[in-house]
Amino acid sequence: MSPLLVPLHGLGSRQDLPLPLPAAVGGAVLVLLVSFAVLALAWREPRWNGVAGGLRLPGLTRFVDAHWVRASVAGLGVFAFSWVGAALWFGRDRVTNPVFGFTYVWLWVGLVPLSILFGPLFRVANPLGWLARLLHRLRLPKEGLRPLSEKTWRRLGTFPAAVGLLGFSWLELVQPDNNTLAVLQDWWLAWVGCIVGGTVLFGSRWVAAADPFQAYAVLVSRASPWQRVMAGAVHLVNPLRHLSTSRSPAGTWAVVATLLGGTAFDGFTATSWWVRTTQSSGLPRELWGTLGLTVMVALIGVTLALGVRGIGRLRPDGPLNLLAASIIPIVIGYAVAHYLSLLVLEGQRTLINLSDPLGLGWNAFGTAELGINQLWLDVPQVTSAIQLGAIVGGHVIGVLVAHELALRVLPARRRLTGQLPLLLVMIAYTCGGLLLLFSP
Amino acid sequence: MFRSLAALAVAVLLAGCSTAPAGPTGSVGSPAASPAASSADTPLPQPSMTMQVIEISLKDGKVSPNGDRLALAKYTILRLKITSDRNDEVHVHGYDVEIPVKAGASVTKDITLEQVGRFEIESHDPPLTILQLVVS
Repeated sequence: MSPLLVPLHGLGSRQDLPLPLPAAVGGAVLVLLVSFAVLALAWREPRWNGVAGGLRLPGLTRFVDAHWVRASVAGLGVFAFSWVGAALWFGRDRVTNPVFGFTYVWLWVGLVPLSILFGPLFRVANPLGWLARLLHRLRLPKEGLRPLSEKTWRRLGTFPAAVGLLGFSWLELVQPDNNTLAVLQDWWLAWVGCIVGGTVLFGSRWVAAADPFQAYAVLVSRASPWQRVMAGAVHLVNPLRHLSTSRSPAGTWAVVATLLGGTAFDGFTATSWWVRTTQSSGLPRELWGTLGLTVMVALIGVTLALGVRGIGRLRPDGPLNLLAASIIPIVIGYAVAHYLSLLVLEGQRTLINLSDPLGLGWNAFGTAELGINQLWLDVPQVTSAIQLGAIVGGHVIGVLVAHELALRVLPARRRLTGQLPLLLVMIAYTCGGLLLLFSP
Repeated sequence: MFRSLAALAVAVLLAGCSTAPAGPTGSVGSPAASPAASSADTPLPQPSMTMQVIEISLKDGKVSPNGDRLALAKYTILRLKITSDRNDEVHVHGYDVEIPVKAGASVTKDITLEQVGRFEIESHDPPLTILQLVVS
């Protein structure tokens, strides 16, 4: 039906229709009912108590650990990043350059389904991880030139990655001309520079601590049905168990707040209130954007901390990071609801563009002549249903995980009352998400 | 001919844009409503016959309308009448229509809304959102 459009500016020029009011209200009512039903009816003793487990899969473990499998995934990752890297430096400065779609859609949005379906595959595919290994081959000490103590690493956790994620959100949502090569080149250089520089100083552990994409992938993979138990065999697990038994390093709360705040701010900027207000004011839009993004991320961080206070005192390795795991499904729900249509449309467009990275008329992968399949996107009701399902489903899983985690740390007499503040915060996140999709 | 079209457009719009959060027809531009010349032998409204006229003005670095939302039914013909005090272009995202405008001149462009979704109509210099077009 729709002709193959050649976009002139900007990715994601088509956004989803606002969620119809009855769907938004119905979703909110459902969220309230389910939340309190969980509190009243779910299990009373921790079900898993932090013990990972499930169906042990020795065959799959051998397969994913096989040298040739890891080498193939790594090769694919290095090849993909080199390919779009070439497009970034030697391609044409048009939105048909695949580096834009690769960065903002395949990488940023695609990481979510990839990590849910296949676990932390990106950790193996990440070219910067392999660059770090190469540096060590070239006699860089494993601990880097300025080794950090174990205690520092534990305190650092994934805080550096949270900073990186905030940077990416700023690039995506605020940075002017973020669809031009010059701007994207600077950001790619900053990304590679921070990760490689940190690796030289502190050793290869820096990649897991600081790479925003790897941290995002690992975070989301905690909701996948694949879990390594005791760093050994891969198990098929209940995602609820995976979320509540996998490790939450320091800074997990910051990563979660940045991701949720960034997506929420993206939705917020589409409201006509935001557009009218920022355009009527005399202040530059970058200032508005920076303020809005910061406030939204801070709002999520502060409310999360307040919600968790009912469960335990705030310590660096205390309940805040533990309970942040319960927000992961909400982060995923937000991401699916806001970006799935973008992934479907612009993901296909990127596949088409990837065949011709330099704008020379190539058809390297035979995809250059493909059309874009609208799939369900011509039927707004399907999109609305997916959005509603993602937001409400993410909320239900999150509430169940929070319940399990809270039972682990709460004394028996405060089992229910202690959970209440976090439950209310989660309801606020979810109803806020529905409101943003309704987009007043 | 256009008068009856416009009247039809308004009628269909009033009946058809129930999903819109806010009724933009009144607040945005002029829907060019006027009585139909004859109603007895007017054919049944075809989806492609509805039209919405929107007047856009780019003046002193500001845009009017200023980011309002405009909800229209699929297959509506959107007629943009643009006046500007500077050389610029108006871009209808998603439809990828670029409308160059000259300082002091007025330009008219018709777009048939065949794609469902939310699309921004924006000016480029400075980059401002004129309308959020909601086609359902």
